[in-house]
Amino acid sequence: MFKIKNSQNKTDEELVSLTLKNQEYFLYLVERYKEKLFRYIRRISSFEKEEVEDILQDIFIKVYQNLNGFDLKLKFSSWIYRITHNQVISQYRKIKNKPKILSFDLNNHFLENISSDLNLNQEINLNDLKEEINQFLNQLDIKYREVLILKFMEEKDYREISDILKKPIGTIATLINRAKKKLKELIEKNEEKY
Amino acid sequence: MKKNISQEILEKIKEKKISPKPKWQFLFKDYFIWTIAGIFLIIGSLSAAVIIYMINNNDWDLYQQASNSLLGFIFATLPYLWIISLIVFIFIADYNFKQTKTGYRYQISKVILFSILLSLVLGFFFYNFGLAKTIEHIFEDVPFYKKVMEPRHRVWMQTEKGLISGQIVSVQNENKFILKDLNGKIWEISCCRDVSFKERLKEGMRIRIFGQSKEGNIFEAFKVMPLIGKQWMVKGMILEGLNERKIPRQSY
Repeated sequence: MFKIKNSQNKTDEELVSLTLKNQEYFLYLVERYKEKLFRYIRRISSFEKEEVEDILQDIFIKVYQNLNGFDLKLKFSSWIYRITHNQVISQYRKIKNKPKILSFDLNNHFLENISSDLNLNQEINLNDLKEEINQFLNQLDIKYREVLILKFMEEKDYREISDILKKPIGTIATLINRAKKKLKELIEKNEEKY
Repeated sequence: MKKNISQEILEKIKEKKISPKPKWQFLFKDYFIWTIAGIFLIIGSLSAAVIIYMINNNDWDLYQQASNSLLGFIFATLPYLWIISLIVFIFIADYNFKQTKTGYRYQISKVILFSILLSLVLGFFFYNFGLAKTIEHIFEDVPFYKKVMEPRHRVWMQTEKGLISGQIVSVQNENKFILKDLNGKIWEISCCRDVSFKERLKEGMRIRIFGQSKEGNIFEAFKVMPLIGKQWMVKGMILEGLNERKIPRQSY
């Protein structure tokens, strides 16, 4: 526990260097990311809790095996999110017939973030539309859904999203704009009904 | 989520004796991808050099004899094979570039534009070193290449317009040699009092001739050039009967 206390102030990159010398330090990296990645996997996939835990194990083992390939030009968090993204995609390829209805934990922070960004009619209160937004996010194509999750739920900036999805920043900006436009259309269409 | 998942992961790593892959493997992969990208960029540049060589050695001064319009002449004589190979090599180079560690950060359109420009710059460099001519000569006798380049050479198969191309079958004497044209027809070519030029004429040589068709299979040559390239003309290999207003007569 002494080590844990000491390691809490260390950067991810320092922990990577330390892990390469002593594998016990890897524990702190796992501790730091396990919950974030668990949430992220749940948000982008429809895997059950137990499956997510298995995937998470595989991810951390892959991270450990590839520590020497970590590029210091990237943020460690971008790198580990990229590995997670790839692992989820490859898992999806293995199990093709999975139902893909997701449930998002739409907290107020997310709703505020996206509400101000979508420039919605002031009369629309997203807090009342939590359930619908869940559906709308499910209706979006995976490429749009994922950028919205990374931007508004994981709160990553454009450069980080670019590094996670391995796409140019310009493409990320376009994807985010299109995703917002599609989500806005769905919300407004829903409002017109009532 | 299980509380002890961190510990489980660490135990699994220990139990299965998993260790980080050595750094050299990642470095090797990186260098390998960069090397492949570089090699294909250079091969693409060599294609660009040949394209420059062929465009530069096209018979722009004779296009009116060879074709009805400049555009028609350009389309008939573009080196399509080399243009396709340039595109393919640039595509492979760019694909490899995108696989490098930070290659994904660049827009593909910008990467393609940059590699085309770089290929052209390197192409000019190789062209100036004479590599393009050497490459073209190496390919000249390859049957597939001959076939692909035939449409370009067929521009020089219009005897009614005074254009003919083919291979020298034999050099008979100072003023006459026998030519087999691209259609396989045998021609008796009358020329040429330029001694230095005659020394260059040899059996098997592939040439094109600008002149005038006479009776039967007799053709009077005004100007003889290799099938690709203008070096003989540049050096003043002007044959008897040449229209002196068009091309000044020179001699060594």
